[in-house]
Amino acid sequence: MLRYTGTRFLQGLIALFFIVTVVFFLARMSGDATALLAPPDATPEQLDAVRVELGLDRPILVQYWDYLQGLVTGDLGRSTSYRVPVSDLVVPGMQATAKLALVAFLFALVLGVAAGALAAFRSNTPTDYGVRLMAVLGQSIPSFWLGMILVAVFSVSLGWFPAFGDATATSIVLPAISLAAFALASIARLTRSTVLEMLSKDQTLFERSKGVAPATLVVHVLRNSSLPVVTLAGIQLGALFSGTIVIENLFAWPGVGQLAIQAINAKDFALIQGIVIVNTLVFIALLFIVDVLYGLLDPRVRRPAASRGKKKRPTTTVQPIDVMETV
Amino acid sequence: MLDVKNLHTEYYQGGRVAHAARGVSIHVPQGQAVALVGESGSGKSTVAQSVMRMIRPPVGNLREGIVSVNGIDVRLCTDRQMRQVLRNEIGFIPQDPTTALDPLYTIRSQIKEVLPEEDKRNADQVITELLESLGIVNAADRLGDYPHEFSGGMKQRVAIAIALAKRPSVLIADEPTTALDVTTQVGILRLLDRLRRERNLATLFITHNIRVARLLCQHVVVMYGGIVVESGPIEQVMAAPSHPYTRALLDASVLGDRPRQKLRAIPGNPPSLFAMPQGCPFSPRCANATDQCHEGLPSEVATEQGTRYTCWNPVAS
Repeated sequence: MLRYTGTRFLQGLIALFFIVTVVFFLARMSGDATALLAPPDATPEQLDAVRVELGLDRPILVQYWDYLQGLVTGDLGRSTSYRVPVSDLVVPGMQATAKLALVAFLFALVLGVAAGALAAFRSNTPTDYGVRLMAVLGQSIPSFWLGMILVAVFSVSLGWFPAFGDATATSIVLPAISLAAFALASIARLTRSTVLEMLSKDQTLFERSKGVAPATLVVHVLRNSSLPVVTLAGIQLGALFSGTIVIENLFAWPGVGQLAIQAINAKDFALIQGIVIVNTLVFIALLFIVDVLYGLLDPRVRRPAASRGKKKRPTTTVQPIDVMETV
Repeated sequence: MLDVKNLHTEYYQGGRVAHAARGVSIHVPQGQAVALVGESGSGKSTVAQSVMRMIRPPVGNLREGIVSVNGIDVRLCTDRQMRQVLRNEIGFIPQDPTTALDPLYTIRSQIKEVLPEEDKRNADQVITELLESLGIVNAADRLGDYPHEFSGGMKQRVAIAIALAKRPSVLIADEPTTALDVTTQVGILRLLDRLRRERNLATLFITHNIRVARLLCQHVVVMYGGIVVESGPIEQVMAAPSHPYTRALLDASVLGDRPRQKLRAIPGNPPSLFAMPQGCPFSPRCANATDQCHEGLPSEVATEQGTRYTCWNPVAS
C-alpha cells in the first residue's frame, strides 16, 4: 500500500511539474506584457525600465528557474494589477472557492448516491422513474439558469436565503445547490446503473444464497459499486472547483473564479498563472486522493496477488490425475 | 431431504412467458447425490434457483408444484422464512468461484457471515478447521487473504466452505467444476463425494456431463426443454438409456473405454424457451421422431431396471 501510494504521489508531482512548465512558457508566448503595464505614451527608456523591474530582460531559462525556485517556497510572484503578492490573493480566494465546492460536493455525493441506490433497488417503480427524470433534468439544466431561478424563487419571492455575497451562514445554500445539480445528477445516474449491474451478478446471487439479512446484502452491493462512483466523484469535485467561475460571478462569491475573471480583464499574467497553478494543484491532489481511496477500497489494487512475496503460496493439494482415467 | 414435485417455473420478459420448468419432479434423499443433467437452456439451473427461490416477480415465478426442503415448502415461505431456510438448510456451490466470491472481503469475513451463532465465538478456529478439512493447507495464515490471492481450485474450496459452514442438510452444486482445470476438477469431485458421505448431505449436482456425474451420484435426472426426459439409478440409465436424448448425450461426451472413437454431436440447437415445440421438446432434433412426437407428450414409463422415461419411441438397448 505504501509503495502504491508513493508511486501515485510521485506521478502527481511529475504531472504538476509539466503543467507549471507549460503554463509558464504559454504565458511568455502570449506576447510582451510590458506594453500593457506601462502608460500608452511611455518612451522606450521607460519600457526598458519596466522590463528590468519585472525581470523580463533576463534570459527566459533564468526567469523559469527563478519562478520554479519561487514556487517551491510558495512564492507565486507579484500581481501587476493589485500590486500585492499573488499568494495573498489566491489563498483566500481558494479558501472561499473550496468552501463552496466542498459543500456542493457533499450535497451531490450524499444525495446522488442515496437517490441512485434507491432507484436501483426499486428499479422500474415510480421511485426509479422519478429519480431518472430528476437526473436527466439535473444534467441538462445550465447551472447559471438554475441559479437565477433559485434566486428568483427563494430570495426574491420567499426571502429565505440571501441572493449574493457570503455575509451570512445561509448565503452558501443557493450557490451550492446551483453548482451541485449537475454533479448530483451524474453521480445518481452512475450509482443507479452500477448498483443495478451488481444486483444481477453471480456475486450477489451467491451472497443471497447465504441467507444473510437484507442490510448485509445492501452493504456488499454498495461497497462493490463504490469503485466507479469514487472515480466519477473525484472528477466531479475537480469540475466543481473550476465550475465555480460562472456561479461565483452570478452570486458574487469572493472565490478564485471571480478573481480569475478580474485577472483576465486586467491582463494580470502573474495572477492568471498563479490561479491556473493552484487549480492544477487542487485537481492533482484530488486525483491522488481518489487513487489512495481506490487502494483502501479494493484489495486487488492494494495487494496485487503477484507481488505477495512474504507468504509462500500453498499449492493445490490434489495429485495430478487424468480425469478420463477415472470416468 | 430435497423433494421437488411437479414444479412449474416461468420467466417473464416483455409480456412473454417462458416456461423454463414444466412439471419437474426430483427426489434427493439424505446422504445421496442426484445428478441433474442437460444442455444449456434445458432448465437445470432454473430448478436449482427455484429451490433457493431466487426467481421471483417481476423476473419470474414458481407457478405451481411443491419444493420441499426438509418438509418446508419454499413456495409458501415469507422472505424472512426463506432466509432462514437458506441460512440453515441449503448450502450452495456456485459454478465459478471467481465471480461468486466478493473480491472486497477477506475469506474470513465471507465465511463468518454464514456461521451459526454458537460457532461465531471461536470463529477463527472453526473456519480454520473447516478450510483444512477441505484441503487448504496453512489455513490459519490465510484467513485474512482476499479471493484474488487464491488459485481457482482453492477459491472453489473457499466457496464450498461457505456452503458447509451453515451445516446444511441439502447441498446444491451448480456445475461446480466447469470453471476449473481438469486436474482440479477431480479433486473437487472427490471432495464433494467425501462430504456427502461424511455429512450425510442430500446433494443435487447440476452438470452437463453425465459421465462426470457418475463419479459422485447414485441417481440421475436428465432434463430437456424444461421437462424431465429420463431418470433413475445412474448405472442403469448409462448402461441402457431409453430416451434418445440421453443416448445422444452419452454419445456426445468422452467414451472412456474407446478413446479414439469420434464424438457425435447432437444436430440442431435446444429450443428457445419462448418457442417450445408443441409435443416432445426434443422431437425437432430426434432421429426417432414420428408424427405422434410432434403432437403431444407421452406419460412417464417405468422400466424393469428402475429407470423412468418420457418418450413415444424409446431407443432399443
